[in-house]
Amino acid sequence: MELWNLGNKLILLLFVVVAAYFRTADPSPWFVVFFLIYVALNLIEPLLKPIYLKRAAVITLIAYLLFCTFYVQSDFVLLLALSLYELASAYFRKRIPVLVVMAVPLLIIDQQNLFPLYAFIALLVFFNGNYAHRYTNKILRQDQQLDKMRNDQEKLTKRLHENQEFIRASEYTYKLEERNRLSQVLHDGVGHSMTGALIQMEAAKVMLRSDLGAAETLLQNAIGISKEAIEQIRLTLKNIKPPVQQLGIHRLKAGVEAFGSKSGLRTTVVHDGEMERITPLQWKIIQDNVTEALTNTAKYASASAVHVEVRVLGKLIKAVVSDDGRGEAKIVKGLGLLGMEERTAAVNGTIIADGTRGFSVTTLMPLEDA
Amino acid sequence: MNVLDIRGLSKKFGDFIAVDNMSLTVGEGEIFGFLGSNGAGKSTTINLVASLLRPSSGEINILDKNIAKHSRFAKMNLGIVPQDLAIYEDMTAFENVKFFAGLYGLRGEELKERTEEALKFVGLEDKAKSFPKNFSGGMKRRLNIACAIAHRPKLIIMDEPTVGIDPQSRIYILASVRKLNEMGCTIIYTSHYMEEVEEICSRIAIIDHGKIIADGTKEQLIATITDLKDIRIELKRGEPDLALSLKNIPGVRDVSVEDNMLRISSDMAVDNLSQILKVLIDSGADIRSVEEQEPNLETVFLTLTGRNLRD
Repeated sequence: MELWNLGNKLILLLFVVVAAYFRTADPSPWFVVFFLIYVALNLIEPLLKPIYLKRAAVITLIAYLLFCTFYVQSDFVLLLALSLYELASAYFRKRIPVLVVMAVPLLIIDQQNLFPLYAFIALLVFFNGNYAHRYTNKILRQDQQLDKMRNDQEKLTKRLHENQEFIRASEYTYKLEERNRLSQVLHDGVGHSMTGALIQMEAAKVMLRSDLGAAETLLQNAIGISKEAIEQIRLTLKNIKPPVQQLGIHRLKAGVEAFGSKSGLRTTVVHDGEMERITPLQWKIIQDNVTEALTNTAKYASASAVHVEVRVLGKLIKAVVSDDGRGEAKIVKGLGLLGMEERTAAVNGTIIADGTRGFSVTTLMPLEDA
Repeated sequence: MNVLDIRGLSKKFGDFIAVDNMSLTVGEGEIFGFLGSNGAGKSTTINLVASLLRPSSGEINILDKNIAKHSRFAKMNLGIVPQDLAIYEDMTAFENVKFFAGLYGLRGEELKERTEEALKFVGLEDKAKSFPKNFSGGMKRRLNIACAIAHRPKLIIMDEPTVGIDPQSRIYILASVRKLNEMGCTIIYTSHYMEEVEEICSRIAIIDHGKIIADGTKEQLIATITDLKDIRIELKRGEPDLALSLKNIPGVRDVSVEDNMLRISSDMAVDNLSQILKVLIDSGADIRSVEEQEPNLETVFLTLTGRNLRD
């Protein structure tokens, strides 16, 4: 704002200098001195720090200009407009009083031809000043907002990192716990059984020469224990391995949700029917096709929401990705769609791409046991 | 022997794929239904079989002979009833049929006999000397059929033959389709009227976006989406205690009671309606109405494509 004021003053000064030079019959060298004093006084203001000194500088300037107007050259009155504007806007928030203050010099102008000129300059300064004022304020506000947002972003990024760290840590902890549990199970169950079996077998070896019957009983025991241990291993492994359908639908949901938060689209995932009939290979195809379709939605559809549905029907699996975007009357198969078709054809399935109401890609695959 | 054998057939119009890698066989004596919404690719497929369009890729065999190599043989064995009427309004009905039969190389006495036979078959023998411009929509359709069958083709393709005609003509046309089939013709019938296809076709293909997404008998198609039927029984008053005893009936999967409405979900393969009713009557329930809902082809289409047939 200060810079803007100085610039305005400079332009106005040039104008006044030129006007004074041409209108006066013989320009006196003293004029130059008075103009230079004006320039000097103007330069004092930005140098001062405290606000009251700044005001004092402006008032001095006004007084100086009034003095010049009356005793040196009436053209100096034109320069008053800017200083008065500066002073008035410092004291009044409302605009009308500022305008009134700026109109005061009109009363003291004695030369007729200066009257309209001053009025014009005053109005120009007033409106210009208003606009400059308004926009500088706006910029100021936006600057503050930007700063705030930067701060927020920094905080959020920090939190994100912390959360990611937490996830990594939790995953690691889970893995450790799981490993711990596994080794416990192996130690408690299988380890003890095997030790028992070993002792029995060693005893049998000793007894082999002396008491064949007892040795045989001991060996039979060892065989029994070993069988049990094998069964236990089998059971443990079976319990550890998560069912395919759980993995499948959870992985799908996680994938779709991750896509939703990345792309800003609303996502929904529903499933219906006996999910356990879907084989791991079919899950893989569903996952790949859904990912591909979601990418297409994000790229082309200009949609706000996307819906994913997996259903097990009588003899078919149906997986649909549909969005509420602008659709496409004429579907041109790109690499994405062709890839989906190829993948799906490998398990005797088909892809239906439809662009009549939003865009939807349906994967149909026959159930394997049907 | 396959009457029609389509392998890897595709047809592109610029970027648009009207028929997409379609494979299909139609055996002798079948009435094969093509079911799909408008623009699904039914008519394009038919035009390809009729050699009116050249395929972008793939091959078509009629009676085990490639139609591109044996075009005369293919045409002699194929009768097409197009969706848009193909008859001359300023020729009499007789002249129309004679003209089209003549195109297939019939001459003289044989041509006359076959023409009369075809007109008789569609019930227009007494209109032989009339001009089709005075015919009703249904009669024009029948004449259209006569033109396509006079040369006794083995395979007849009917493209939406019942669009925009009165119910009586429709019944007549459906009956003549059956009769042609009994006479040994294999028929391909396209329609977006699900009821018609359900009624007359021995095998049905559901076609969408130029692809066959399912085919089989009506029952097989329904089985692809579900093996359950819905039975709704309205009672005079709600009997929530009945649910348990109903669940013991073989085939019953689920029972729900809403006010005085009983909804039973049951295996389609098990015929248990009388058992269900017996349990209800024995327990003194007052039955108002019984409704058994099996899914139909419309449901199949909707479930598979997410759209209605008439969209």
